[in-house]
Amino acid sequence: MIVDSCLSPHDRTPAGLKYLRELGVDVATSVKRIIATHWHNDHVKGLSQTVAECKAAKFICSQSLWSKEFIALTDLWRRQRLGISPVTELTAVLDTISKSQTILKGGAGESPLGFAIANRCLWRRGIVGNAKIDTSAELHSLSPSDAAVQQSLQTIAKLLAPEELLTHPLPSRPNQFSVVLWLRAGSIRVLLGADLEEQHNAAGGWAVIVGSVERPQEQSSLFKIPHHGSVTGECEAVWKTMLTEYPVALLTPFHSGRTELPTRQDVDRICGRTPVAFIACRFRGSSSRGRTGSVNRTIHETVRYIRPANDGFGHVRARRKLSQEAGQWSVATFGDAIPLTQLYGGQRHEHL
Amino acid sequence: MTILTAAKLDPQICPRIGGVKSMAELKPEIEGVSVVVVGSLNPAIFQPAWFAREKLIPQEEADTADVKIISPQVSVFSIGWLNLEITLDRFTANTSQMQHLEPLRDLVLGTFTLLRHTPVKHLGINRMAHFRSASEEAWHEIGHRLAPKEPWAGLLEKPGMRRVSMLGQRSDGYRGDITATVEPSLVLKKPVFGVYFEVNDHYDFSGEEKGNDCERILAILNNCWGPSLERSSRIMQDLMKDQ
Amino acid sequence: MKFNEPAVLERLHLQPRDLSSARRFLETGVESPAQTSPELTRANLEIRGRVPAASPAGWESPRGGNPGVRSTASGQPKQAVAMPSVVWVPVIPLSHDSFEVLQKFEGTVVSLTNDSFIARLTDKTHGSPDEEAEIPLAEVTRGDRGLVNAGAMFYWVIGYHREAHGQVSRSSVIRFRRVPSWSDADIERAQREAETFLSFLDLDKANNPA
Repeated sequence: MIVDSCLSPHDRTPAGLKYLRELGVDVATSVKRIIATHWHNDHVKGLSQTVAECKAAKFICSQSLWSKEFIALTDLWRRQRLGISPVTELTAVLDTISKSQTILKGGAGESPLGFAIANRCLWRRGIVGNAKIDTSAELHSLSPSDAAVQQSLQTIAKLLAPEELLTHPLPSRPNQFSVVLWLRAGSIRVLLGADLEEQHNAAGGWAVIVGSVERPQEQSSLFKIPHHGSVTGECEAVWKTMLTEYPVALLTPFHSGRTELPTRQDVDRICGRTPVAFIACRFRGSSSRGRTGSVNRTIHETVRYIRPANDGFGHVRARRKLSQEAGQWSVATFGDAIPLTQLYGGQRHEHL
Repeated sequence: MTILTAAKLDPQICPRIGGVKSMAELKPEIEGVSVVVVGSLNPAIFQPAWFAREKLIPQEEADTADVKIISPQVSVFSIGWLNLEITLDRFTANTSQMQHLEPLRDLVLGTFTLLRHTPVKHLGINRMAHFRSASEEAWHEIGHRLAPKEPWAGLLEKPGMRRVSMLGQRSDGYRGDITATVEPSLVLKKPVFGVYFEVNDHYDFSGEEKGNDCERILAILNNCWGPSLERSSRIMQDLMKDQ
Repeated sequence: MKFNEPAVLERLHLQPRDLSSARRFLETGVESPAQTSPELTRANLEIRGRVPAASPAGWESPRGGNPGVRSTASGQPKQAVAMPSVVWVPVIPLSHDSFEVLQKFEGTVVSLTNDSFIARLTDKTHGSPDEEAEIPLAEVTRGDRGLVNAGAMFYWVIGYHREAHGQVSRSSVIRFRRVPSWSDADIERAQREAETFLSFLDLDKANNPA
């Protein structure tokens, strides 16, 4: 299963594909699900290549991406060749999927496409291999709600105005339409929070998920913190009811302009909830590209700052044995990934 | 292959950096790119004001355009970085300012997006460049290589290459061809010795069904612009690299 | 563009040598002397270093006489023959300025501030990883400032500008990409096509993804 995508800055290959291949996984046959939680730039780069290469995988996304309005939008954007990753990636994914015979009406076989909506099972597997070990697994989407899907369709429909198409090619806040995932493998449970933000209304957000009686009720011991640890993604009820005590918490940074997430306050808040928190990389430093002196001079005379769009690159690996019902997570950091406490300085934590 | 010869000096090229062969890419003295669309056009509408009204160029560029002629038969004007010439059957946009290559493409894209029902028959993405030779000897050498003189011995007195044009087939699925031409530069004159290159990347839609003419050229400009310019640059650089 | 095809030459009353001339003849079928360009000069005809050969025998220059009348070798005008009028197509002089590109970026505006914008830059010269920069609006030409919105694309080219007389200056050019607006008809057509596209797909199966 691959959730969202980004590009490895070294060779610009999709990070999920690269990681699995390095583990010896045959991505063409072994990947069963690819999920696009939402269409923000930092979540979709390389998605189309991932879908094209994982030929046995079903692509899961919000139903709003397959509405008449969104497909009309992608066609208009493609003609204008707008240089925005979500547009190019999603149109390429649409192209790949629509070429599959099984998606046509009357086509036999499993559809290459699936829609994620609140409280829907996206995949399940029974026990395989040794019957003494519970290797059954299932994947559920906990959002978006029906109301959120309707809202997203209305938002997309509003974009179909000539002026909007040119000035706001994509809604700036799709976070309320994010797909939150709950995964169970044996007795292990994981909550992947995407970028869902708390809405403080009945249409969607974390409170709606927490309050749902149809969702899986078991608590998760590993949590992908939503929206880069920002306070807008915070919901205390999630920590109290959906997570075990001191879960392993993972997150990625966001740095654009003057916005840096997580902030110091966010780090303090998260570390106050669990001591086991990791971030995929630090914030970036200055940009050093080996350009000629005259080019660098011109650049620095023109801009106020320039820095790498992506800081270093790293990943956090969390593993746990299915055979150990009461086992612990083994977490390791690679590349530029660090314990969250070190993001703004602080003591080093030992790895589990 | 068409070779037009005359009793003139052979045009040659040599890397111009101190007369020593260099593996670095040679920089032309003057270069330009043009996009040519052959079809049925109405020149009178192609005025700077129209381009500005459709937001294809800033109003300031339209206001300061150098208009040579606007008429039902032909329109010719320049907006500094861009020259436009439109006749009843040809639209030509060209620039010699290499920092404006993508804006040139975008302007043609925008024009034929707005005029998508224009019947078109041909599209050309053309690149031209004048290179300076390091010496007269170096200048002669390319003529010897591209047009050997042995077949002309005894037929012409002091034969020299006047122009070489080579026609190549397309291998990208489109109809058309690619023509590369080499000849002495008449812009870089003595005491400088220069060579002129021209690569015409020609797409031919003349025999195809009507109805999607402009969609084809829009797709080519979107998808083949970079590869076309890289190919023409490679042709020029490869013909010079062993000099 | 097969200018040297006999059919084309015959129609335009041209000789092959005319193809190398900087002059262009345009058959109009309508006599309209006002359309001739008064700015046609020898200098303007310089392209690729060539100057036009002497006019083919018998043709009058449009300045010197009736463009529809041919002269005989004796200089006596023949009986007027109905010939199509021609319009001289002025040639824009070849610019001897040049620009040596050192660095090219394609940028996308991420967000705006009061006097600047944040952009993501893709290095088109070296293929280095993307960068982010804050660029003052003052660096954008006035005519392009209305285009600076989130999602807008621009080109940033850095290099040496060499003028014809040899002056070299380092130059930085930011130019925003211009795309034509879509009309209501375009949008309606796209929606109809999307509806047709979706009608072929079985999306009910997508609601049972497990």
